[in-house]
Amino acid sequence: MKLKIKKDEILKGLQRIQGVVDKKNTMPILSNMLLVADGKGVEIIATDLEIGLRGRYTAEVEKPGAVAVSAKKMFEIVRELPEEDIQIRVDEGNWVKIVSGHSQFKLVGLPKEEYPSMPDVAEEGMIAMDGDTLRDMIKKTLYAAGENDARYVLNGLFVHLSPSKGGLNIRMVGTDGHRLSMIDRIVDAKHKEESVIIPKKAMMELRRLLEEDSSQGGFQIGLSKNHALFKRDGLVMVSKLIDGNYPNYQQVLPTQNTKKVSVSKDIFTHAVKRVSILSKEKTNAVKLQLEKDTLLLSTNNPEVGEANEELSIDYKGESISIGFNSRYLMDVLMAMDKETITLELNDSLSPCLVKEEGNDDYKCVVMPMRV
Amino acid sequence: MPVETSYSALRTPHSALSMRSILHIDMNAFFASVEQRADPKLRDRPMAVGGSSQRGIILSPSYEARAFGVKTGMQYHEARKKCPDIVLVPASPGKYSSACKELITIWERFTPLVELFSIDEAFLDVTGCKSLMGDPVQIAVRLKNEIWEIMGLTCSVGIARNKLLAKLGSDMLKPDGIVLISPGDEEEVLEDLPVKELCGIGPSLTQQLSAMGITTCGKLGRTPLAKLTARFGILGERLREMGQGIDDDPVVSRAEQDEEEAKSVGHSMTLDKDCGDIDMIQRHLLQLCEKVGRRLRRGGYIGHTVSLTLRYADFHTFSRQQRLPRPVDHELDIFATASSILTRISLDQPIRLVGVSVSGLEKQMSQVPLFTDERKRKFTAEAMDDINDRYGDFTVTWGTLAERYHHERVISPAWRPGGDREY
Repeated sequence: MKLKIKKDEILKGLQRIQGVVDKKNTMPILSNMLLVADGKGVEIIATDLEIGLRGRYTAEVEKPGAVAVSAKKMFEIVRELPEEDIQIRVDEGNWVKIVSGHSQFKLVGLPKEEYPSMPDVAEEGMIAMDGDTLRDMIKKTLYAAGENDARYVLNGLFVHLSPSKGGLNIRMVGTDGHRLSMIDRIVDAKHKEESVIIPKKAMMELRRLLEEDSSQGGFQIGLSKNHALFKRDGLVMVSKLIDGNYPNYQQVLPTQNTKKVSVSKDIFTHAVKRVSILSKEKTNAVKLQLEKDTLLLSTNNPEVGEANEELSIDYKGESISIGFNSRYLMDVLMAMDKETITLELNDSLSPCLVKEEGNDDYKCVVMPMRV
Repeated sequence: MPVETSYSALRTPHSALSMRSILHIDMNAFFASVEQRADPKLRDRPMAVGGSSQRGIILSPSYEARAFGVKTGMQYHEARKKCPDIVLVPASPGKYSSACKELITIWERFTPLVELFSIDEAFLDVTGCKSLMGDPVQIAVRLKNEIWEIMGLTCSVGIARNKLLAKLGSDMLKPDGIVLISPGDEEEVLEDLPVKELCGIGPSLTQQLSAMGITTCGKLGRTPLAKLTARFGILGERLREMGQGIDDDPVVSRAEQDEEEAKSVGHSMTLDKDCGDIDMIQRHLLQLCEKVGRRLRRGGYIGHTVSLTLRYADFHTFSRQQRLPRPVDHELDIFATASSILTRISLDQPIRLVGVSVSGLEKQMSQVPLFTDERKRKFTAEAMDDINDRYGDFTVTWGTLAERYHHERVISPAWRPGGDREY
């Protein structure tokens, strides 16, 4: 293999795969990436056996070939190279030689056959989604998904496709058993009704790709029995699906909450931030008290002190006092985009529904804590 | 194992173990006396505190009732046969627990080295108090007087150089006695003493020893070590020492116990009779798990590791544990884990004791779960806790346990007053 490539071009590819490459070192080969040079340029491929990412980049290929090489070392080297033009050559014994200006590196490589192949997913019934919508949906739900939860289905986003009037309704749901976030968006596409659970890590990587450059447009999404496929020009991501039954999330969405209050997102966010400075470290508990035309926020930590803040609101309903993990509240607030949000409460042990004002397509549920 | 704490300065150095002065205090007819103190109508007449079920048993007869031959462990109808006028009062654990707390306050005025042995018994190491308060007998007299003046309760005190003999002493003169077993008298006391009188030698051990021709402590102490270890393993050595009145076990203060205990929450129970029936053991296990779960919740803890301890009929004791990805505080989660550990063990012998503990504790965030089934489970557990706190252990319990509810002599360590142990 012998090729010339621009630093920016290969760096983009190396950056993209850093999140995919396995850091737990369960199999040494997985700390590598696969570099493939052919007539059309180069491909950089990485997988942790759950997720695979394949990107194509422009290069002048003199002699095709392929090699597996440390993804981290490649990235660190290329990042520091002095010149725009980089030459890469693979010599006998899979030595990878990188030359730029007066710098030379020789890296140990492995034959391409040792690198696990990415699963082939048939590209049928692909759904086109624009980048902003997809990114937004992920951002608004992923925070609520579980992390290393024993209930493994929670460590992913539930994606439900259903035909609807304006096209195809796409629903994403994330929950960790303490809070839940659900968003619906309609896209112009046709697809049969289907539900899948996509691992959190895949969604995080997808979100990163979407945040890279919004001008690159959206993704084509394909689902097979065991995999999800995300594709755009020169970039393919494949993820295994989580096999299992997602809990009945609809059952926990409150519908009868009568105590409703609207509040400015900014003012509320800052108030929560301030009072939570004195919340108990382990619990992060913040108490909200809803009374006639006021919302009181307070924290009390016997070892440190207490904080109180009063917000004027329009509220005529019954008084209620309810505690929350302030971190959960902040996560919800960060995910909201509208200037005004609404809180819908029932009692101090029942779920609280948070919405953007006038928007019923995005619902967040936060469970209270006892304070 | 002795723990290095600020109390170490008070602790007798190992070389001087034989010089210790240990008091064992045994409150006389404790539950009954507390009830008599609370209600004048019960004073000076035969009465007893009993379990709360219909086929209840006597937990604590007053001395007036004992005079008629009413004994702990008797069924109600037996007691009534012996003493038709007996007044039976249902147990109210809260009352005994708060009385116990008062007692501890008194004891701890004498020495911080107070080891609560059960709700009405304690060991006090007064070795370091002698120069301040006189010899151990004088200390015991003062202590008894204070308990009488402040609480109107009597107790028996045993004084000796170790816990084993002090406990033996308090048993020798009841009620209201003081017995000093000084090192010179030990041999004589032990020579003809039946082995079952020693704390730690239960019916099954007594039987096994008697089958070997060992009936008295004197004989036990003279039995060749090899003979005992061949039969009982490591325990053989300990048994021989017991026969000789040797016991180096330190008095572990409550502060030290708390330190140890805060790291785990556990319960164990010795079964009525050795049991090889897995279903039956599982049932005991569920009962223990319920207690452990309740105590975790009361302290606001969740734990990552569940341990199961089993003791075979021959006293061989072992533990197995499992770490969970998600910390638990619910009995069904604890039980599921403990029970799966149990099914993986092939039992060589019938089981004598079962224990369950949860460690790797962290303070629980009082977060309410989102999913309805989990929420229901949490709220149900809390409602059960409330009822059982108010009306006594196992007032509401799992159906599986209902039929063995009358297993009442197991008094939950939930009575233990003070600090984190109060749950």
